[in-house]
Amino acid sequence: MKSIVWVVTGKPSSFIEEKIKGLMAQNWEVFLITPNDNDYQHLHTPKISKKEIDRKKKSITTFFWVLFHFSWFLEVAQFFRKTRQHNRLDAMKMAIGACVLAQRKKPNLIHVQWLHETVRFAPIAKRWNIPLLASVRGSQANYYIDSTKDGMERFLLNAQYATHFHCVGMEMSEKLVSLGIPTEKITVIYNGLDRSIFKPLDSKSLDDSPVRLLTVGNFNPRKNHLAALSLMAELKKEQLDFQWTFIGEGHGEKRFQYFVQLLDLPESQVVFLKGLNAQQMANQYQKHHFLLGFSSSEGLCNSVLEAMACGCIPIVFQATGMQELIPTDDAGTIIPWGDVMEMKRQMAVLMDRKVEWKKWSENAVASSMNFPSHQESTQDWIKLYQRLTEVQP
Amino acid sequence: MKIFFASIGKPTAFIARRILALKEVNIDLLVDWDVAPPLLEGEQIMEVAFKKPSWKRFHHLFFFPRFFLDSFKFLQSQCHYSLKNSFRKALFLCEIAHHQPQLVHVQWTNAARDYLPLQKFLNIPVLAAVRGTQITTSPFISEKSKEILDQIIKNISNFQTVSLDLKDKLVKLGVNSGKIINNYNGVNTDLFKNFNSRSKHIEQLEIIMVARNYWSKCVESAFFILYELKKKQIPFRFTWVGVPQNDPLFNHWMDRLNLTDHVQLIERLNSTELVQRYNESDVLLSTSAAEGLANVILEAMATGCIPVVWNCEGMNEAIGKDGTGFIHAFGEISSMVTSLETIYSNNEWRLSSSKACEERVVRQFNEKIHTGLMIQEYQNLLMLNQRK
Repeated sequence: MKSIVWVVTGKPSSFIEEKIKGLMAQNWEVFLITPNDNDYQHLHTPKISKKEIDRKKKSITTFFWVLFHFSWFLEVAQFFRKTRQHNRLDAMKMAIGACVLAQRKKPNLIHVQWLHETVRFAPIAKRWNIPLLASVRGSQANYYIDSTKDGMERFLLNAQYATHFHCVGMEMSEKLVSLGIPTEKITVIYNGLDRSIFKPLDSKSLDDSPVRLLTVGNFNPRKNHLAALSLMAELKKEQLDFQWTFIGEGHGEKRFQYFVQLLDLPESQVVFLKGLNAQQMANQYQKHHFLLGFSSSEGLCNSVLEAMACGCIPIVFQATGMQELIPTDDAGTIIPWGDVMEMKRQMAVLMDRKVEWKKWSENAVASSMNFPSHQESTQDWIKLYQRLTEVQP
Repeated sequence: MKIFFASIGKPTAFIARRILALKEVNIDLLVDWDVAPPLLEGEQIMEVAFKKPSWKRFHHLFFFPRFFLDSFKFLQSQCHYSLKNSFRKALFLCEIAHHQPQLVHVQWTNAARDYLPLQKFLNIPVLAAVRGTQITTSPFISEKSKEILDQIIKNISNFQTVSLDLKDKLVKLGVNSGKIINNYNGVNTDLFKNFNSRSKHIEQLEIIMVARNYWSKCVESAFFILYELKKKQIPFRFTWVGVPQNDPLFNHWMDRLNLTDHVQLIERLNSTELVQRYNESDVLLSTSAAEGLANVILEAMATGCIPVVWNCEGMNEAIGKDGTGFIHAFGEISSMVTSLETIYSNNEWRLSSSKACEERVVRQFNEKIHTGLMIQEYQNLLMLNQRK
């Protein structure tokens, strides 16, 4: 009999997609719970979107299901009222949502990709007595817990209902332990790298003028693009010949573009791209000399790993996972967070030493080889799922 | 002369003082505000507030049926308002028409298009105040704002800008410069003044920033500047007015950059407390990317607090080349830090600059003078309109 796993996804990502494909190939039945109707549609695996859940809440089948399981429904509504501090009506709506899902065939495991969803699935996991695995992302453990009013409270609440935790790096794991999560409940599985795509170009050298800079990440305050802006202003002041590509989208995109046009640089000097697939991303990494990262928090930054695999040298602000990615100081540079002037100084040093740049680029590629491939990572996932489903909570 | 002050929203102290000054020279005023400011309590001011409709408003429809219909059609077809909104706005315009103002001064650029029917069908000049974001950031980041601005630029009879930079921007957007009045807000120099003689020597640099956490103020950048200042071992204390003391995000940044001992966050100060703070500060820091002409700069300068700013609209008008502060290219951290270092290390320069700042504001940005100039402009506009 096939084992069934429910995967509660966030925004579509290539890592999740690879993992799902790997699981399906290994005879696992994957049921996806996605934010939008169209997410992961091409994978042809059973799925339900949050919008569809909302639609099904009003169906006659759900009405009768609730009627026949009324005591469970009340218990769940009370749970949401208590844990999420919802008013009665909202708690009942949430409970009906749980009833929509509870009508399905019992899975062996629920895996939420985003810790803050854990509490939502806790009553279902409890009903079926199955493990609830939560992936903890960098922003949740490193940023929101102390930069938002209820961040820590939300973290602890959700952590309370997960039976096991997954994170993407060793530094993240240490952070989780420091937040009170027992070591034995944590498994580190790296995202894995598609080595057939992310590989270096032999022909690149720093002699190609201008120096090409790349920054990858959505335009939100956490990614700290204002530091990039100041660095750009400083490079302009020093009259350095550079070309900078930003890849990302988000509500801050236009705002950042407004700032950039204030610097009065030629239009071709700063380029904005978005919606690139893995191959297009790899092409960009291969084309650029340096990946500049300003983020306030990470788990283990994918763009840094991918860039290194393509020979693009990372110069990044300190964040969780950076030390793991850049273990030696000749494969990239980690700058104290927020120190824009130091970043500029380090860049100037590297730009001056063209021979060293080539060496560093090779070192970056070598360092990236320490991380697993997509296939290896998928195998780790299957092992973890098997381990968790063998031991019922 | 009867002027309708439209779309005031929540009046600032400056608007309240200006209304009072206009009343003192016997200008009849009609106002549309959300709430009356404390300064004008007890004053006899005719209020016609859009947000406070009453049944009485309906009877104006019978006196201006044609105008109502024309306005209704215009608002629906040109401004794309819903039936209900067009009806409410047209009814509001009838009430204004009933009061027969000779001039409409709209205090919020984008709102000016609501008053186009008055200009179009009753031939009343509409003067749209242009204060900053609505011609700087908003049309850049929002297609809808751009559309509205285009419509206003094409149709509104007159504009009032608060800085020459904004005037230039409007001209570049296609407005005939003859249609633009530049009138500075100015500063109430009775209130904002230096009442302490500044110390000849300072132990640490006292820096103040007055800004809320709005995206165009680039507030995070201030932390990068302070971090660099700390690295250079320049002793300083930073007071941030406009941010709650317990703001988790700001405290997170301060912790990460190890600046907690240097920074004090203050959510709100009244004007007397603010003047006191300016008097205690050596430098006003601004990392803003877009302004009209930042009043905080002028107010700080009036107290002898030296501005160190990134360049944006109005900065070159407020801060001269006469040692009244520093303007740097937007985004540059190193230049800001060098200026702060100069102010800290050169007492003589600091004292003379502080004096020059005070004098410049008294000489060029006295609120009373600019209110007087605005009254003249109103009169000119009315004269021109009568001639037409």
